[in-house]
Amino acid sequence: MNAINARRISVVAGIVLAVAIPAFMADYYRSLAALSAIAAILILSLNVLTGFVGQISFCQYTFAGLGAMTVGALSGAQGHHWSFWISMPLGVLFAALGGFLVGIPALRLSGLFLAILTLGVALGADRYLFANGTWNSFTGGVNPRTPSRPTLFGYHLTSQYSFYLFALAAFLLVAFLVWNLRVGKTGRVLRAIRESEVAASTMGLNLIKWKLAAFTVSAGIAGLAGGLLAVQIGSVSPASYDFLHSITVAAVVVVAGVGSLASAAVGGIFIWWLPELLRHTGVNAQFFQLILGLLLVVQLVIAPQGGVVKLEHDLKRVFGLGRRGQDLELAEVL
Amino acid sequence: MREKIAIVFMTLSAVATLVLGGAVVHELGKKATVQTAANAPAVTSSQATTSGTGATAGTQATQGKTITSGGNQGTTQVGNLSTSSTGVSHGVITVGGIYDETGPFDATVERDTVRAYFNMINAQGGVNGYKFQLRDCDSAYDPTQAHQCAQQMVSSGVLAIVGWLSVSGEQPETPYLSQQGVPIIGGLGVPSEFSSPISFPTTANLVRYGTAIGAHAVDLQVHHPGVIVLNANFIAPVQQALVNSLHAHHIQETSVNQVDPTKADYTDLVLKLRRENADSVLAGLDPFSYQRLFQAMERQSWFPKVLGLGLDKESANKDYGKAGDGAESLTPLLEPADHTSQPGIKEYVGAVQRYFPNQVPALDVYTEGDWVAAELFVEAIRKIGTNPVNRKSLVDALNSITNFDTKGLTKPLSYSAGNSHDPNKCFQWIQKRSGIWTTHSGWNCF
Amino acid sequence: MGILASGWALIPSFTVIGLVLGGTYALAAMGLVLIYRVSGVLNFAQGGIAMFSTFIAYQIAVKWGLPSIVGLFAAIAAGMLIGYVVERFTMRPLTGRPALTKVVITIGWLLILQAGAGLIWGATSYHAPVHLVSRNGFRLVGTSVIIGYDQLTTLIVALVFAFATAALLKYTMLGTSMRAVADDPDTGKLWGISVNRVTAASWMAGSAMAAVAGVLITPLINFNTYSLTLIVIDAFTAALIGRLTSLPWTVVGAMFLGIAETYPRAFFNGAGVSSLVAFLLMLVTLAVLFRPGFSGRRTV
Repeated sequence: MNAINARRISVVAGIVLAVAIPAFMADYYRSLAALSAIAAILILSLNVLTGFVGQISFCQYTFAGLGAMTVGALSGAQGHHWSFWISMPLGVLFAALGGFLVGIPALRLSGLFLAILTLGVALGADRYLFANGTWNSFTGGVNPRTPSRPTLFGYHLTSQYSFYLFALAAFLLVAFLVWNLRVGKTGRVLRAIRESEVAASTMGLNLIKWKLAAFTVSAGIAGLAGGLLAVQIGSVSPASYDFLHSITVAAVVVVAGVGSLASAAVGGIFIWWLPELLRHTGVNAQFFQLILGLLLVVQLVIAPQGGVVKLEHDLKRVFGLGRRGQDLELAEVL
Repeated sequence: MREKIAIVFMTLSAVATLVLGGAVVHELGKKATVQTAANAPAVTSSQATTSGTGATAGTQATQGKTITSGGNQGTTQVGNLSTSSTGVSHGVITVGGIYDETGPFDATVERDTVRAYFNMINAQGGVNGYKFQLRDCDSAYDPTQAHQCAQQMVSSGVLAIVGWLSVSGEQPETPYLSQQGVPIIGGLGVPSEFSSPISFPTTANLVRYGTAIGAHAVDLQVHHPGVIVLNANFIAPVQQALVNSLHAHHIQETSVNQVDPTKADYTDLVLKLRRENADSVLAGLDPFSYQRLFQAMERQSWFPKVLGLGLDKESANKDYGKAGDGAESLTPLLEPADHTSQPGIKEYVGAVQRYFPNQVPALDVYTEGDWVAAELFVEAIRKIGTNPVNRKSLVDALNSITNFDTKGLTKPLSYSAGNSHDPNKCFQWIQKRSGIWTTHSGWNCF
Repeated sequence: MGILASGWALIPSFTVIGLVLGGTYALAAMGLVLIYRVSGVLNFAQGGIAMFSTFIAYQIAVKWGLPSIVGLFAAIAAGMLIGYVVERFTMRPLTGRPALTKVVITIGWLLILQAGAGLIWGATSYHAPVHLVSRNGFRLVGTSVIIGYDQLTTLIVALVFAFATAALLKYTMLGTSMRAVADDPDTGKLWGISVNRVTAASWMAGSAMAAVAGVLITPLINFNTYSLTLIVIDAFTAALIGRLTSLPWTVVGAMFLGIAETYPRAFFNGAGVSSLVAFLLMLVTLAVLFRPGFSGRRTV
């Protein structure tokens, strides 16, 4: 068994499990599973930025919010009743535009100051763009938008299991796209930029084009996640897309690791199932934030490349499969 | 190839700018949320008026309806009431409550008040062999989280919602919960709670509060009040009722201002109202927003008469300062501060003192309303007797309650089968004199 | 946004309001700049440390009823302790790593402090703040605005901190050591400076300043687990105007930011206008004042 086969088998096994297990769950847990899949898409969007271009972003939920609110404004009951299949792509494009606009000032900033910029974007959105009174026809103001589930090939995705499968399919599609980018020429280019911008530009790469593209694609994927979130929950309001959410997802990415499908999936599950577990044991849900912070701090001090990625490496070593050299370590980014 | 895709992507994004960016510019050109007296905002809130598939699972969106004036809106569609034992198992009845437990408001005291009531009843042996428990969920002043909480309540199977307090969640979720066939008892008194056949409020409709404040302004002989209200998603009809009531008594307000509950500094508003020569302030805010308003007033040495609702919360009172002296508040329930030996009040405060002593300073008119809601719920269970307890029998029992005593905390409440319930139409005026809230009127009914 | 024709008349009052706001930003930025100058880490948890220390003061002064000044000292002690723990156990082991790693660690600390305070005292805005200084004030001649003594105190303390720290850095042994460590820690070691001790001292001093800032600022804003963190972002902008190195210029930058945020409110009714101005200023400062290749501090 070589590495490629092992990877293929584990991916197929994962998909089979992901489809089968929620079939036996109650609707509420299926909704958590769908939310996990959507969160995994959001984490993948951060992967594109962090893993490829070495930039970190604290405003992914802002882009998700752009996508979600577009869907809410256009497809919501209080809005224009447009089909989901029109409003969703528009949401993705609008979010991508946001990413593009943020990418422009980000071009000349690195690491630390880019982080400040994205934090500023998140807060600027919270306090201005998404605030009540600024653009109420888009955000809904104090009234939540209530988009309904879409219809796929004549089948109305109202049942929670059907929508879960839809969200899972979206996640696999995005994961495939991201993987494709990574193994192809694009991925090599972006990794070269990440390793050394100076070297990359001496080789004639147009840094501006590639970094902007990375920001745009990353934000677009986040917008996709936002739109899916909007119809999964059935309610859109700006408070769900604030900077605290952005910080949380960035923290989860650091804890779980960057660059592998599994880490995105684990991250997504972590975000939604740990609070549920806490609720079940009667513990205050705020412990989630505390645990995340502790994991983050401990993680970075002890094992900077991220827990899941590290586990994968260890497993591969155990099975004698070695590193393929394609997996990305957060240590190289941070 | 991939480069081409990226370029196409970016071009399409630019096209999206033209479409959506134009909308931003258009929106920015519109007027602000601060209205002058003449404009009635057409704020929509979700009301289900079309036929829905009711009680089936899945989250159907509700049709929106524009509310342009206060008063009764259309009736909410109700899903089939289940006769299964949802929420009842092994002698324990589970009810749900959605509360703003984190964020700008602290509704944990409402949750703990309902829990205290249940603890008290359980300690007395329960009712008809049943004990009670409350399952809570945090809506964090986010209507989306409130929706998720409502979905959770439905899927985890609570018998009913009892004594909830979610400032941004009650208005949109009442129609949703009604569609799912979940009875609702108690709450803030938002308009949608007064247009559902299975919503049983215990406090007055907030719209009626608006009318009452306007009427009392006349008694106080104010001539040009400034109006401040929270920009909640139910405020439009309340604001309209207040303004209409003022105009009906030939009082012209200087301005109407909507504020966010996160507004930290009221200095600019105080300066504005003072320049408008407002001789009083009519305010519909939460207790800690009142605190910040009073602090700004005190700092600027501006002490107009203040009239509002829900001011009497001890934990906020402590810092009202000089500007809070003489302030008047209206309440549809008996004021605990000057009726401490009244049996109903003693039981209420005593239970919270026994089970959640830290929460006693946080008691206010909203906790008292939710206590009454818990009383009402348990009374309905009592009425069901030995029959099976389910949502349908609960609603039937509630609809059969007439002249319910509430131990004197309100005027007797009556409910009956119909499209909506509005049992509590009476208010008392309380005033802060020498630091203590004193009732200085009888029951005024509107 | 509707435009108020009466805007111009409000300008004198709003100038005062803006300067007061700037005072809170300046105070919040002081410790931030000190920590950044000496240890090269932009402490995103600065607001969290301020908040947690203030809650300690709240517990002592408001809940237990002791005098506010006792609460203040407890807050300072708590701040210094937190600052020490952060530096000693989560910054020092990562010597040599890029600054961004350490910044992400401070984000972790922010989550810990926020969640911790929320669990202990409640993650709501329903806390009566600690009143160290009287709310009363005096009317400023020529305007209709009364400045509270508590508002004025934030301004004065910010200035005191700024100049005292500048003097400390320039004229004292500790200060010189700090500057040496900031410039080149290896050479500093050659000169016998204990880099560890100096860095720890800067973190403790910066956190103590955060604690004082927290106790003074909270009566003027909402007292909850996140407002002080939100203020810190505005403080960043002020610090950027001060080029992240000069404390007195940070104060100037904060004043400018405060006024720039307040003036538009005299003309427009939307509350979001202030935030828009803050965001645009941050963008401009980041874009204009920082050239490519300026990657901030070298790794320390």
